[in-house]
This record gives sequence, structure tokens and C-alpha cells, in this order.
Amino acid sequence: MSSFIHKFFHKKSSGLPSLSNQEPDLEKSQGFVKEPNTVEKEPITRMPNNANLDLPQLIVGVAHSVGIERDHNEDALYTLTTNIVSDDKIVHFGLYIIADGMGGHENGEVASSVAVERLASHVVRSLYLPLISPTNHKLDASIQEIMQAGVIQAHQTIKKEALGGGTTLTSALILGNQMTIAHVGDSRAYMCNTDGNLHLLTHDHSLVKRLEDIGQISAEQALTHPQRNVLYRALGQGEPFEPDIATFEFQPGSQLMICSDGLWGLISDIEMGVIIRSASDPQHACQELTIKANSAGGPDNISVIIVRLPE
Amino acid sequence: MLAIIDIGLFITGGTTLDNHRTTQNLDPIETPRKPSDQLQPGVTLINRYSILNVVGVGGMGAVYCARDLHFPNVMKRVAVKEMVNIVRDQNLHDTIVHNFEREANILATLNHPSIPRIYDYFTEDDRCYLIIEFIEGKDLEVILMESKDFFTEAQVVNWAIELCDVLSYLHNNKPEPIIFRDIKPSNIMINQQGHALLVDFGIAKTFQVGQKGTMIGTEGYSPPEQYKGEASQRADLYALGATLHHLLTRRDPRMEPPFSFEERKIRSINPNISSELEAVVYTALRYDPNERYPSADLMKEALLASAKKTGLLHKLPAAMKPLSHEASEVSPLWKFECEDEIRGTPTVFGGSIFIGAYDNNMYALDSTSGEFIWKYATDGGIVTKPTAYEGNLYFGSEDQRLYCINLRSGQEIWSYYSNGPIRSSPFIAEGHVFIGSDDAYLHAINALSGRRAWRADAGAPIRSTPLLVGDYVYFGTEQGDLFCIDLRGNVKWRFKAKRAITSSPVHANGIIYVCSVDTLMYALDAKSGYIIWRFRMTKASISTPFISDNFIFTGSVDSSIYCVDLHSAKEIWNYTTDNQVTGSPITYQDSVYCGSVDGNMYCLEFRTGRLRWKFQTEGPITGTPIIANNILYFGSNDHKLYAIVL
Repeated sequence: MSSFIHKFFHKKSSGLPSLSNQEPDLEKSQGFVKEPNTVEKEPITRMPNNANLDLPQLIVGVAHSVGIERDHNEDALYTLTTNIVSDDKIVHFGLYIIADGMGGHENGEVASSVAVERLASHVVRSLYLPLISPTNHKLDASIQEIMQAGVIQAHQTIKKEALGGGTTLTSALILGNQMTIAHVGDSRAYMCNTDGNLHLLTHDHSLVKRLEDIGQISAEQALTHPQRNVLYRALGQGEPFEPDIATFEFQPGSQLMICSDGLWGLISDIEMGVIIRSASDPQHACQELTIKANSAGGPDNISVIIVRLPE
Repeated sequence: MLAIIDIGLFITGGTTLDNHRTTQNLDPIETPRKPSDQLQPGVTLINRYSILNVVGVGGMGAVYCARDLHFPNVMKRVAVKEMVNIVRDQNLHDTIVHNFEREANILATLNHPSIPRIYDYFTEDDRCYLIIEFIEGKDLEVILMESKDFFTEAQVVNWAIELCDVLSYLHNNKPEPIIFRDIKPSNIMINQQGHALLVDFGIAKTFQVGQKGTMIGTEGYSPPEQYKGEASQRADLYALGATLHHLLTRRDPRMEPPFSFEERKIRSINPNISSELEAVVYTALRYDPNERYPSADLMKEALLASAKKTGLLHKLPAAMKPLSHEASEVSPLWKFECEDEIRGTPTVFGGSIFIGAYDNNMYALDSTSGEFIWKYATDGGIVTKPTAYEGNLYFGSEDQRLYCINLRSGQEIWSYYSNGPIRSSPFIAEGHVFIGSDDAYLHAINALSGRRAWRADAGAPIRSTPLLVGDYVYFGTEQGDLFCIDLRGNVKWRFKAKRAITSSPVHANGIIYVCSVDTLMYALDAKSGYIIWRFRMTKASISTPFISDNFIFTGSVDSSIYCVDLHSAKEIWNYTTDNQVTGSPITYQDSVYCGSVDGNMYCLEFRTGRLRWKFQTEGPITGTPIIANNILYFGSNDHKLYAIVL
């Protein structure tokens, strides 16, 4: 892994431990040159030199609204999009977080902003900085472990600094073509695949979702249930605490959406899918979704992030 | 090289901050705000209680151990529970103090061996204090954490009966019944005599500020109706049931969705528990309160009745053997005996089955009848799984050679010499055979001519079977490297585990999965070698993972067969055999099949890992079974190849 990144930055003077370097004459002496055709026939995909004019980079849209009925904002969101390009490769690195705070007094707001700050700074420090470090630091932890540690740090900080406050947290870390989701609460992450359908990637930690799952109430009843705001897992609340973490492939042509319940609670998945697919770009999609939620009453803060990886 | 940093955006509390702020956040400054200050040892409250140390810290304040100075000649210890009143509104603040004193008055009148005595209460500034009998012991949450094994049924039933007694006392309190509301392991102390006591009466609840907007409830032990604010005797019984479920299964309900106890059947997790006790617990856990026991007394009776039935009451041996599912009806369709151990994995192709043995032969048998077709003798034992390709069969041998044999006739087409025993199996693609050898090279050989295209030095023996995905070949080494090399033998990336990677890599959704002798299963990004996740087993693994649906299965030297969620790396189940699992599990329809060094072939339920049947051979099973035409084939170190119809 470290050698991979190293390669981006030191491609010409590669000092990385590779097979060919260990035995510099290996290829020549061991048949590659003798029978180059046997393998040279293999198609080796290489980007033409002028392909950099049209790099397939992550395109991000963000929208946020306090909503019609609320007078203050308890949502917090964070986006970071970078592209590391070298030679024939591009590595996408993106971090996207939405937190929906809750709880008495001002601690809901504090909790959600503490959550995004803590997670973002942890991921940047433990993953992103080593990634672009010229000294080629070796990562000891897995990407899931880094995300988990960040969320747990956020949880502990809220318990210290925003007593009684809690927050949802739904985040996605994109690295190359893999997307790792860390999630607590009832904000959501969706994948809009090339097949055009919206797939829910997260599971709401809410009482009504659970009641729906065990057949006590219907999906329709869930939408209007008086306890639909009750969560059984939230950052800053309860011990033991564990976020849901999962990794999915992020294929070219697909789009990721993260949103708070101020959006998904008002617009159906089908409607959201139509808006995302028909919008010219993620920013327009985010704006249109927010306008739609507000025109449906806007009872809550609305936050939405859409990330597109073009084909 | 080009690095683009595109967007760095914070929106918090209605404020938008720019990139600058983002950069600053890399080094967050600790906020000057302190958590609520705790009392320091030596501080004396109302001239009577001298604080010794902090026992615990909760959301509303701390619990201390203190010395009661009214007893100067003896060390009388008391527990001091402190609750901080954070409400600034004066009316609400006063209401909270009032409620606290009212409840403390009620608690002070209680007298039961399973309830610590309340000696005193008072308020100082914004803090309220309860002085409680100090219990020498540990709470059940701590006991659960410190222990590894299941509690015995007798132990749990004893505690359950004591807890029913105390609940009955509370529920029958006059004039008003007392509902405890918060039964859970951390609120149950086990004293030095082994008796259960209820601690932490829900008095702290008074201090929780009424919240508007989204509410939070986190308690995995709470009954459904508690979310509506209803609390009854039956709510306490539900929470007791949830606690017993946790004690019997060691599965923490706070880590699971609410009301999911039925999905974690007690006896499927802990088969030593009687069905009688399981039934009592599930009655207490009914969703509808009317279907639970009407009172703690009746639940106690049910517990006693179950104990009578299972003989616990008469102190008969409590240990019960798990039901044996050993199905006698599982008998092989045929078996074929060769002259030495079969350690590897067979291949079925075109109505024939091919298997290598340590009698140095590669055998071809009729896959339906088990009849011998041909054998081909090498000069060493064969552990590699043969591969059929374009009418020929390819396999390696301990005699250091890779063989290409005609599938039909068993005649040699060519053989290729490496410089070490071959334990890796061939992977054939793009007209080439890729195979590792103990000579530390990965060899790429033209499948038709048997001539080497290239070989790549991996620095250590390669026993892992290479995998080709797209334009890249992946394989592990005995030094713990996992290499990704291109089709010309150049390294694209290299990942290092702490111990050998004998396991063979598998691929799904852009991720390479492999196990290591360092006890971990790794998910690595196929493009970069980044670790996506790691799954820890108790001991080494040389088993090759198997992917089916969203699950990944593997075996370990720790004797277990694991089922792990592919995306989250969460263990779904594990099944423990009686010895190492070195081969790989495979799935077919709704079952998992896997051999063990204990000599058994196991058939487990796909979703739960429960045993369907096992089939005993007379030697360790170290290879991987295969299934073709509804027949399961596997070899054993008892020299036999078995075929079982599914």
C-alpha cells in the first residue's frame, strides 16, 4: 500500500521495494525478453497522454436549509474532495459528513458541529496526511478502523463538551473506487447506481424503523408515527457505543447522496431518484431537492450532499 | 503529478466557514470548557461524609465512596451519589430539587435484602446527594466483561429468582407501587456472598432535561411501551427478561436493534440452556405487555417450575449436552481409497473427478460411480488442486514440477521444472499458467508449450494460489507479502502482513480478500493495496476465504468456521469444530460445507451456522470440498476420497 502512494510521487526515481528492484536483471534474464510476445499481447490499459484534459474526478454538490418551521440550525455538514493524479492513475479521495444534532438547549448544535469537526480532523490526520506525505508513512490501521476511531472520538467529545446533546452522523470516505460509510442515527446514505435506482446503504437507528422491521407498524404509519424522532443509537448517547461501518464499491457512473431526515422524511426515494438522475449536475440536484423539501413544508433542517463519479 | 484540493467546507450552526477554518481544524484546540468537576478525595460533605474516591461517573454526576465521620472508631463506608442540576431556569430547577427529595423520601423507607439502604439525602448548591449503603461487590456488567464463559443456568436462575423477589416487593409497595424502570446488568450488584441487589433507582431520571425536537432513547433493555413513557410492572419484567437474555447469551442488547431478542435465540447461541428457561425468558420479553407474566411472583413461579423440570432444584448435574445432530442417514455415494493421504482438493470436469494424493499419483475417477479411469505417477506428493483447461489437466507436485496431462488418456503433454516443491495450485488465464513454488518464484508458463514466459522473485516460498483479476495477478508468500503484479511480472503494489499468507486471495467488488497466519483476514483495495478492513480470529488462518451473497466464510487454526459480513467485517456467526480448520468452507444452496482436522465434514445452516449434520472420516480433512451435480466431494487423510449426495 505504501509503495502504491510512494509511486505517485516518486515514479521516476522509484526506490520502492519491488520485485524488479530486488533483482534488477530478473526480467531480462528470466524469459520476459526472450518471449516478450507471450505477454505483450495482453491488453494493457493505459490512458493516452491527452486524457488528462478530461479527468474523471469526483463532482460534488451541497445544499443546506434551516427549513420553513425551524428558526435555528442543528445540522452540520462537511465535504472534502481531492484528486491525486499521477502518470496514468487518478485516485479520488473524498470525505463527506452530515450530522443532525438533537437534545435540549444548545447542545444539539454543539454536538453536530463537534461530531463533524472531530471525524474530519481525525480522518485527515490519520489517513489523508499520511497519504500525501513524501516520507511515505505506513498506515497501520484499516480504513474502517480509522473511520470507527474518528466516530468514537466524536462520541466521547460530545459526552464531555455537550452534555445531554446527541447527534446523528452519516459519513462516506471515498478512496479510489471504494467507499466506506460510517453511520449512526437516522440520517441516510443512498447510492444511485447506473441502473438508475436509489439504494439505501444505511439502516436508520430509529424506533419507528425498528417497529416497521418487526411488523408492528406499516411503512405509512412510520411516516406519521408520533415517535418517529426517537433514536435508539446516537452520538453522545449511551454506552457501549458502536457505529455501523461498511464498505461498498463506488463505480464510475454512480452517485452517492447523504442527507438528513429533513430531506428523506418529506420526499420519497422514487422522487429523490428522479431528481438526482435528471439534474444536470450534483449541485443542481441538491438545490432542487432542498427546494422540494421546503415546499413540502420544510419542518426540519435540510442537509444534502451528492457526489458523482463520472464514467 | 498533480494534486487538486477542491472543496473544504464546514456548515455548522448556520455558519459557513471557509478552507482556512478547515486547515485550522487539523489541530483542534482543546476547549477550555471542563466536564462537571468531581469532588476530590478529602472533601467533606455536610461535615459528615469524607470523600475517599470516585466509583463511577455518569451523565448526571458521579458516584463516590465516602467515609461516614459519625463513626469515628470504625471505617464505615457509604456510597455517595451526586446529581448535578444543570437547569438554569429557577422554577424548573426548584421542581427538580423537590422531585428529588420526594423520591428520596420514598426510597428511604424501603427495607429489603436486595435493596441497599438509603441513609440520607441533601442538596448543596446545584448538586443533590444520596447517601447509600456501600455494597462490596461488582455489578453484572463488570462481571460480564471480566468473564469469558457463559454463566451456568443454575447461576442465572438463582439471580433471576432473587430479582423477581425484589421486584415483587417494589411492585407491591403501599400506597404506590414502585416501578424500577431501569433493570439492566449495570444496575444489578452481586455482593460478596453472590446475592443480587438492585442499585441506582431511577431517581437520576428526574434530572434529565425535557427535550424538544428529536428525542433519544438508547436503552437496549427497555420494553416497547417505555418509549411512549408508560412504565408498569410488566415493563420491569421485560427488562429483567432482557437482562437474563444478555446473561445467558453474552450478546449485549444495546449493540442490537431494539426488540430483536427473538432473532438471537438463546439456545442457538448457548445450547447448554434448557428450553424451559428459554421459554420463561421469552415470555417476559413478549412485545405485547399482556402476553408477559402478569407479576414478578408469577415469573418467579415459572422460573421455579422450569428449574424443577430440568432438575436444577434437586442439584442434579446441570450441564446438558447439546443435541447431537449426527445424522446416520448421511452415507457416501461412493468412496475411493488410494495408498496415502489426500490433503488437497479435487476438481470435477466433464464427468470425471481428479484428485492428487501423497502416494504421488494424480487420479482420474468417474464422478458418478467413483470408478478408476487412470492415474499418473509423479515423484512427489500432490497437494495442489488440479485445473482443467483446453482438454488438459494442470497440477504441481512436491517433485518440483508442474504437469500438463491429457484429461482423457492421462498421458503427459509436458512438464515444467521449478526449483522447489509446488504446493500452490495453478491459475490459468490468457493462455498462461500462473503458479507459485517453494523456490520463491511466481512462474508464468505458456499453457500449450510449457515454456516459461517469465518468473518473478517473491523472496519467499509461494504456497498461495495466484489469482488473476483484470490485468493483475495477486498472490501471497510465506514471508507475509501479498503481491499485486502486472502481466509482465512488475510489482504494482505489495502489502505486508505480519506472518505468512498461505491462504489464496479471492476477489469481489474491487477488493482482494485473504487470510494470514497473523490471525487476520484482510480486505485490501485491489487497485492500491489499502487495508479496507481486518477481521481478527483467535489463531492463524491458512484457509482461503469463500464469498457468497454478502458474506465471506473462512476457517482458522482456532478450530472455527467463520461467517463474516463482506461490507462491515462483522462476525455473523462462528462454528467451533474439534480441531484446526485448514481447508476452506464452501456454500451450496442454503448450507455451508467445511472439513476439519477433527476428521469431520460439517454441513451448517448458511444463515445461522447451526449444525445440520456432520460426517466422520478416519483422518483429518485438510482440503476443501467441492460440489458438482448435487454431489459433495472431499478427500481425507484416511487415504479416501468421498462422494456424498446432497
